[in-house]
Amino acid sequence: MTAAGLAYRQVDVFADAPLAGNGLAVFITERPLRAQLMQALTRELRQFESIFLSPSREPNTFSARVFTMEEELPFAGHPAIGAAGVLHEKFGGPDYACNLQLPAGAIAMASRRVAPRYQVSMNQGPVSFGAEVDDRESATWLNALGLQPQHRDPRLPLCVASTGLPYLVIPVTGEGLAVARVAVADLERRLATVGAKFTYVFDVAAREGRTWDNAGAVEDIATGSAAGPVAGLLVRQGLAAPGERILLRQGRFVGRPSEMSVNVEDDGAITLSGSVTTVARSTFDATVRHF
Amino acid sequence: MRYNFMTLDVFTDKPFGGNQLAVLTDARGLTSEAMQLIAREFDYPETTFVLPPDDPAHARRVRIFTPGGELPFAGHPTVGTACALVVANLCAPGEFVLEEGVGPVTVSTQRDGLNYAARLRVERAPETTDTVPDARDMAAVVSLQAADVLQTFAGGMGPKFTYMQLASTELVDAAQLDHHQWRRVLADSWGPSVFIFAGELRDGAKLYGRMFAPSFGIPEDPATGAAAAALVGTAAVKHGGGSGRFALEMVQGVAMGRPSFISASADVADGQVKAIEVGGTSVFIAEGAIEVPGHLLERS
Repeated sequence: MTAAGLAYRQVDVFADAPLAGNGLAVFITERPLRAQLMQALTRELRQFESIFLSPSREPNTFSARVFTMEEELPFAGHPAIGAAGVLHEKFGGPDYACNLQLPAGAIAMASRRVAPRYQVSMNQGPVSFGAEVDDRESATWLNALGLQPQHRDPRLPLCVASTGLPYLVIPVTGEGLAVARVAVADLERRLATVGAKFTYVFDVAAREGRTWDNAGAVEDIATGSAAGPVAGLLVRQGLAAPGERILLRQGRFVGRPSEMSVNVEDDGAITLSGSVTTVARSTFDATVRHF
Repeated sequence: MRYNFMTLDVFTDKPFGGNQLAVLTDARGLTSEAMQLIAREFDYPETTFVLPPDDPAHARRVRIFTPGGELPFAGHPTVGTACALVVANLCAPGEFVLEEGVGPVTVSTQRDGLNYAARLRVERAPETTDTVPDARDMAAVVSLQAADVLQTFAGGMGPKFTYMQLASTELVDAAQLDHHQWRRVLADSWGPSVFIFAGELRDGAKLYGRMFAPSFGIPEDPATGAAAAALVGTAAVKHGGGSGRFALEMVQGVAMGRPSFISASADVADGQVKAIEVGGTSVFIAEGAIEVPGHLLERS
């Protein structure tokens, strides 16, 4: 197995400026690579995710495999958006559409060129809402994120919402967003009791969010899977209208400012859009052999 | 504006082992802000930016960035940048001087099979302090018991480390950084980065180590030259004779699947460290070009 001569691109997804947003490595090869090599390449490149594309028999359709440093993901939003942007750049035209066949199923991607970037959209399906947290428990949750009761923005409830991955949305003020952090050691266990996997701390006025892994070690830059749930909640509470382009910001506190654009359609379906910029093009040296 | 870069795996002779490094071999025109953003984009433990030297007798000036900030000195970026300059035919193999934040660093490079090896030499002693968290607090930082800890001490060569000698390599592998304990015990201490190891501190010994640097945005580092430099210097005074050479061979990054091999030595005279050397091999991995927008360039 070898990486010798293999070309790849690094792109920024959801960036509101160059060298911002979520990084991603994109490989396009005639035939699929072996899983072990895809995992090794992903670890070497250290981007949040790498996506590996190879053409299938149907036109504008590509098999796609997504890896993190740890494992293969059956599905992922920002890699699909980044991949569609790179395919658009490669195959040209002012507008472009493709299907990505991920292990969990196929997704239809639509891209529009807004030079020098590509604005890519995907359908995330409807938002399902879970438990709402009552006022007494709200204080405990705020505390778990290092926050005080006055940091809460009462215009939204603390609520679990999901387009596949359930988030506990914690609505806060701007000051609350700036000081939020994971302040307890057992956040994952606490979240399980309300049927959520992660928290999303959300400044309602600025439409800006933050989220971390449950140990609080790594803050995420732009979380596509949380954007739909937050936008769905804004529409349900009457703070945004169906069909409105809802712009959500994230990543400022880790120096990678990001913008995610969300539409909640009349039927409740979520369309998530983000910009894609190619940052670097690279090639593995001819001597790089592995295993 | 397009800038060429190379990536290397440092302190290994096998691709995808050791510690990754990106080197922009001609970084003229980039602002400090651009360098920081590029280091964050690659998200390697370090990215280096090669510039013309201030002193014409020296080969190049090198600035070193982690995703979180700039470092005055670091081992794997120095060794890897020296190898990159030779691979790219910008410097001839042999001895040359790189200017870093800590001052001039002498490197000597030579071919090692398909790869190049480099050894850096700095003529200075590591910094140290006596105020070090105790075994109980330090054990908690890596989810172990006080009884697992043989000793704790601190040392720095540019970045500063709190060292913890553990009773076995199994304990080193079992360690898990506890972020809450790290914030409580180390985040605001003299040596916020944690280097844990097993093995005897005597001349010629082999050590087995791991390094965690949350304050630099590095959850775990597969190979840390600066930690080896400060460790060999501190150990040479604590455990070596009053004069002569004290050498250690260090293995790091095994549990994270990126085995790394660092050779380090300290020259001691009259109980004082006079010079420290750190060396290893680098593998050339990839080359490419990165697009840097105009507003991040210096106005010429």
